[in-house]
Amino acid sequence: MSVLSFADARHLLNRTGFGAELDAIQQLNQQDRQQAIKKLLAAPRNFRLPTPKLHDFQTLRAMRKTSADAKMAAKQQVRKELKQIKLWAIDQALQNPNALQEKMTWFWHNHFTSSLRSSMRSAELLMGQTQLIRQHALGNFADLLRAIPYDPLMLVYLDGIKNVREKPNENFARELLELFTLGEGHYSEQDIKEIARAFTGWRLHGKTGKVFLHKKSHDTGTKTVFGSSGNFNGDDIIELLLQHPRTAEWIAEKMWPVFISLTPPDKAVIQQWANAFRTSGYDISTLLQAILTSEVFWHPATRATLVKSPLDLVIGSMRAMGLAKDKLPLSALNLQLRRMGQNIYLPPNVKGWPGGRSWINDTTLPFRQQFLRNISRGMDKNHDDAGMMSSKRMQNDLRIHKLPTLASNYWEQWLLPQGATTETANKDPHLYLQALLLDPTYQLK
Amino acid sequence: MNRRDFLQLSTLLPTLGLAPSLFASQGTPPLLIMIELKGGNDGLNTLIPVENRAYYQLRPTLALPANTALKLKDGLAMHPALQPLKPHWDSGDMAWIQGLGYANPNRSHFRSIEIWESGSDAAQNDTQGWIAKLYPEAARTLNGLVIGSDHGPLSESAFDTIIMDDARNFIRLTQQLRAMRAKTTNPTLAHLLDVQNNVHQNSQQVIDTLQKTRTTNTPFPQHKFGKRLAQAAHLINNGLGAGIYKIELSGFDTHKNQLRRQNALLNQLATGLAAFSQAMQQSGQWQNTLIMTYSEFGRRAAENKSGGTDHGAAAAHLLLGGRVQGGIYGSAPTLSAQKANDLSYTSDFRKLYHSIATQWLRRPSPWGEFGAFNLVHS
Repeated sequence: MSVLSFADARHLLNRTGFGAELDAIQQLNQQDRQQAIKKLLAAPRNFRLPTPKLHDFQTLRAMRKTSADAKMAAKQQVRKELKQIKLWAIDQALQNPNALQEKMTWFWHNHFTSSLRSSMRSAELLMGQTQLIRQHALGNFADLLRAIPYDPLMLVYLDGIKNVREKPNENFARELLELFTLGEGHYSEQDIKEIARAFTGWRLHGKTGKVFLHKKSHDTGTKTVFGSSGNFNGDDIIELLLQHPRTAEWIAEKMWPVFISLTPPDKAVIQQWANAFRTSGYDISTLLQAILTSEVFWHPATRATLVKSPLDLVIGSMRAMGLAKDKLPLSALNLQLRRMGQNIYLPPNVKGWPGGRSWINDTTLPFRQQFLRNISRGMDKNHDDAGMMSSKRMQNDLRIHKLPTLASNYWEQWLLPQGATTETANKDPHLYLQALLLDPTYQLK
Repeated sequence: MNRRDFLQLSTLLPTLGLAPSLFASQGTPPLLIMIELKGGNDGLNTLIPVENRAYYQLRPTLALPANTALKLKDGLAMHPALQPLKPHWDSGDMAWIQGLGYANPNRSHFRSIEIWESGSDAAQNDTQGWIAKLYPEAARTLNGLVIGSDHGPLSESAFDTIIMDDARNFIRLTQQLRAMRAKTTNPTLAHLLDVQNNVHQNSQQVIDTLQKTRTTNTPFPQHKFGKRLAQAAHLINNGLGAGIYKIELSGFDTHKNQLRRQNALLNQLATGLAAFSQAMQQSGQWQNTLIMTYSEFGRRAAENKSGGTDHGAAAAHLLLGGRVQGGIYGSAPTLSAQKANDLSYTSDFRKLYHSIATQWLRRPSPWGEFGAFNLVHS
């Protein structure tokens, strides 16, 4: 039996959540490691904030038909609603007690990438996809993979709706293999062509926006994929991919830089995770259990070597500093994320955010530090003016209002994954807290 | 003098005249000033085929009458708002390139600007900027400055760049990032410290340069674009040392009210660039300066029903500079009232990139297959 120290508990939560929340650390401190991991993976997954009200596909379609002005109004309405979905997702990340579910939701969004720009027909498309991903984030990968080809937003984003028998469009087929299941080098160009044919004919109904198979546009001919032949349809292809041993390996490889380290993955470890994942029938929690219980996750050499993503930094800091449940200006947080290079639901391209070291560059680092400086601006001197602030300013104020309850000699261990790089000691607790947040190691996890 | 005094002084006394010789800095790299016309500038109403009947048929309300447009040659005229640049045309240091675009044009702002700025094919997913591609092994020194919101052609460059929306905000944002001397065995932390030291050093370089007061007696227009150009000119003339500049002018997505909006924007473009060129002439840098415009796409040949134009394909772009071989390059896209759709490109935009890379920046270029215009004289 291995018992978690305070630092171990912080490490576990830093990597499975957004940032280490004090009460969560204290709950895990001195607990059995296996038990703690089990508990983490068994946490309830039902936290849902009310979703924004959206105009549906049909209503918007009717609007667009009436006049040029109404068409423009429909466009603006959809834009507004897409922004509301972003803010809802940020709030959800701030408040969901099961932070791992949020983390994995964003992991899968960065795996099955789409863009909110493909949701202009109706914001329902984006909402539908993000709910689908959220539902399966800690569930079963096979179920998620089976649903993804027919997800309306994905059909638009990767040109599935343009993929017809007469003129197959390979965009989805290519990314299905290259990004979603096998990774480069494990399929042929011919496989892509054949798989594109298998997915032909899926469309969005012009009136309702519902997905349906237009039979005339579907190719019923024989396709040969990975050496086997038949009149495969899309579902058959997904099953072939789930039988392919590379699929579990590829997902395991993608987990490595998210949970372990930025160095190339250890092949033996990947094999072990992939086996556990595959034999469980692609149960995501089983894969996570394999990852979190592996020695490499706890090894001193891999600690403090990952970079906090903008979501980790922004959401994690708000949660850790006890600001998450205040009435927050969510659009201010959205702006912060955008400046730091993670404009949610809008990845730079189909490969998603590369993450790792690329989060830190000449442009993003000043914004990351500015955010931390702002939230930790010593409130002692501003105590009095807080009462005089207009309610609007109060609402836009992201500053830390209460000092942590933990004794300050534990703060460094709590906030930093390794010893501070700079001189942080300060008698003034506000300035000390600020110095810790501004220390470069706070950017790591 | 502290920074605030300086900023006030420099706006109060913009006419501190200095002799050109004072500015003649040694070893200045060739200056490339890229002006991004964000939103998709309507090329057809910028360089106008005033003698083409189809133009008037396609644009019953938006066509600019031949008698107000600024006549150049070969049946082409400039938008009247570009009047401040007409002297450059007359003196032969302004060039127009017609019909710039690419095969299988994409009409998404986002995607099409990525294609233009990366210098890639329409079907290629590539985010590295075309300028960055020309300097694969550059040293990490400050060689690029963006005044605007994104790196564009400078994305993922080996050399250092600074991006600022405005000098004052930039100073506020970066001045508190300290230099760090810590040693570490953690490779991720080492990267972070490296970036931090670099930002510190480069921003210090910009701040120091901004505090220098060598200035020309050129008055810049007071609009946002004019102020951006004034800041760029100030940095260049005070020895920042960077060679590549990207400056944004936004608002060209003229789906409606195009006449008024494009007129205002082209006026900003022309008054700003006229002032900038004057400042470069006074500092003796004009022979070392090349200005180019670009945009994600041109607009549709036929006007829409809202007094505007929708996303199109090819468009004309301009070059200015002391060593530009003035004239009109490329061929005009075919304009037909029957085929009201799009302007097809006549020159791939990478032909322009290849010309600039080889003739101006003196770099090997990957775009030789597209050919070259002879744009620069010695």
